Amino acid sequence: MNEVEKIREELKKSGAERIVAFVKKENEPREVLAVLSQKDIDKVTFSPLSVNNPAKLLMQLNGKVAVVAKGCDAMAIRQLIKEGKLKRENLFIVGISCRGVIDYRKLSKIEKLSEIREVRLEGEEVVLKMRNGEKRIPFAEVIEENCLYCEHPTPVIYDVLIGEAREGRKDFSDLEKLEKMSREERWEYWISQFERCIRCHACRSVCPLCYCEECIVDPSNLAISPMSTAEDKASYPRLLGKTVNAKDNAIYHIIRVLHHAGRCSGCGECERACPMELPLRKLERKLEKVVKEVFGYDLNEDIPFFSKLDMLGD
Amino acid sequence: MRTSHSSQSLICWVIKMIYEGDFLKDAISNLLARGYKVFAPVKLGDFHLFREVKSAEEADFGYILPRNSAKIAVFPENEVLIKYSSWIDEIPFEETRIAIVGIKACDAKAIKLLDEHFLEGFVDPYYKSRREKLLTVAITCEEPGINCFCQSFGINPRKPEADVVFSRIGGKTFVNAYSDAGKDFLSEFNLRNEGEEEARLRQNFERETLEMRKIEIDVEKLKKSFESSYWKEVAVNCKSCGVCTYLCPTCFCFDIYDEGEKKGVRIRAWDSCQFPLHTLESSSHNPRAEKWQRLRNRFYDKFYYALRKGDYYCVGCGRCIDFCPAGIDIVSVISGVR
Amino acid sequence: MKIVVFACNWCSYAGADLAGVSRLKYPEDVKIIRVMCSGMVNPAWILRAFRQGADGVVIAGCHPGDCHYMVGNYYAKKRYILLKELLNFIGFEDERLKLLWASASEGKKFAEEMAAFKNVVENLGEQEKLRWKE
Repeated sequence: MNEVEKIREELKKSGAERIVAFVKKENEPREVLAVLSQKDIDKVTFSPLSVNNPAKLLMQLNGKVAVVAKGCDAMAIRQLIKEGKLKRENLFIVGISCRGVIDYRKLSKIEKLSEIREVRLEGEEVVLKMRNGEKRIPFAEVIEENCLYCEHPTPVIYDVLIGEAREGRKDFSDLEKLEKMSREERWEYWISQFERCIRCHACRSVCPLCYCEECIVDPSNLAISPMSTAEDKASYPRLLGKTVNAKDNAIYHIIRVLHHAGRCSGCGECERACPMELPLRKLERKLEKVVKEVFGYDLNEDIPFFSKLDMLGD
Repeated sequence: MRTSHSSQSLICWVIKMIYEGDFLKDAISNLLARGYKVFAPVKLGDFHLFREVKSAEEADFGYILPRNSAKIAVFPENEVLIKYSSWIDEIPFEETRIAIVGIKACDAKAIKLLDEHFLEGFVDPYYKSRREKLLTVAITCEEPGINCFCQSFGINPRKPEADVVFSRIGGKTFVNAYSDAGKDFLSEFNLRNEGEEEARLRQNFERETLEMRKIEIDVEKLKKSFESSYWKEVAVNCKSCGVCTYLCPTCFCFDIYDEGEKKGVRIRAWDSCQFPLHTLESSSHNPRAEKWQRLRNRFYDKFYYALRKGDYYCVGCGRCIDFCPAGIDIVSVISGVR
Repeated sequence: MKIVVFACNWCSYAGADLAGVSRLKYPEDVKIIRVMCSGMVNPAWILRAFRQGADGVVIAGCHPGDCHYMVGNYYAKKRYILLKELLNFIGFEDERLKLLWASASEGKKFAEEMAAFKNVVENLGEQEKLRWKE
């Protein structure tokens, strides 16, 4: 039985009414998330191009749900359970011991996407089933950078695990290059990145941990009620405008990232969603490092990071 | 639907010439030397972005489509309208002429659609001031991208509706002008008329249909299925971000707001119908509070409401499909309406 | 120089008041904003201050253990460290941000710390990196 068949089997066994899993996207080789019922179970598929994080989708659904989760997805689900946004007893998690996913953008540079029919992983190689024939490329060439530093490739919570448990990496060597730069160089680097941002807020919208109904970075996060007076509305503090320029974008990204300190599951959705390819994970990684090294907090602890107060001396 | 309102059909003369050398770079240098503000695709890492360029070297033309649309040249993401303190300073319209070099057929058509929106009926002075000074230099497409479907809207990717059209066919540089402005611009270059053989080559190139996706739009079905649960199914994975609208070459929504309390500026900035705040009224009522309503609005806006203007407000560039983080595909959504 | 101080109502604001009452001099560049607790200082306010042209920002609160709301200053410290590290990471001068514990009786300390902080900020020069210009 291959991986996909095993996944289908487990989803069927779970008996859940609704299933959150990956299905093939029309016209493209990648997979997208869908909410399915038991009768559509044959549509379920999985490949290294099943990149998205289902955690955000789960928050919309009630009742028993079966979900396919990679290591990072399980981290996010666990975090949401910790924060009371999901109920463990409602979930049936088919955990997948993940070897990393393919960077779709890297793949599109190597091969014409319209030619690719199917993608699967075999050993250290990616097998591309093309319109005519097969092609093999080394996995290392197309793996998403984020996955190279994945700390939890094996789901931290699951009901069934598919594949063998894997060890993750625990160092922060991806940050070394930036940390070695001088302050001015770093500023140059980041400002040239932030300058591209168009503030579509995709990084915020796709993040499974950004579930606030009113977001602080929204142009007007004004709690309006029929009782609000004109004066209330006028004097409501607006922390961040809609102006799009490198500095304001920098502030937007700092605020956004700070809210993920000690929570980020490391799925990399923000970076994948960004149409301007900002290296957003680097910011999150930096905070992960601070949380770990300065505060000594481990993401697996049951107490949320911000509720834990005894970790610093005076 | 109106059949044709393009400038091409109005002009009986068209000059078709051949240029020796790197036309696009020379065009940028020429435009810059004449004081134009030039927008051209700049290569950043692995992708291209339309940006203002200061020299011809910055531009790079090895792309199918730049990430962002060329609308930024006429409808910038941010624009200061007035300055205020104890008095109000109107910001005068910029006098600089604007050029877009490297625009493709879809984006060129999108600018025509934006014209309908901003210049017919109520005239938007800010848009108008830029649009009047705009010169477009287009490139023909050699091959389509994976999610291109412009031909579904009667756009010929080999024959963009622009002032000047550049194509590279069989190693030769063909340069055509389709408007007075384009003709004037070309008069600055050393061109020769195309020969008979070359004319045939070009015509064949223009006539060729590219193999690309097709969108099937059934307006009657759209009309009937407004209340359908189909939209909820489509939107279940939608994240309510603004990628689709911010990258769309025909999206024109904006928001005007003041930056600064006693002293500051009034800014016009892009807005997206996908954000919950877009339709939030100050009475606290939100007519499109749910994300499926907002997503539905986007599709109806493009394929149903816009018909009042006579055209679909989609040009088939496929950016929203390529970059949707949830993989929502406008072609399958519209083709599968029920 | 513009220095913005978010001072907690119970300790630091009273401390600053004491400095004034005791006729201690501290730099006139210091603008104090009274907040109910240092724990309510949102990092977004600090960034907003920098955007509006502040050259330095101080979060001033009660000594650990003395918080009127028990733990507010612990939150403040946590946020402060995270923001400072992040600002440093993107190449902003993180010395422009300071956390100060000053009790209601420490008027002298408040004045001295302010003078010292002004020195630090002055050496860095005007803050241009996040200041907003039209």
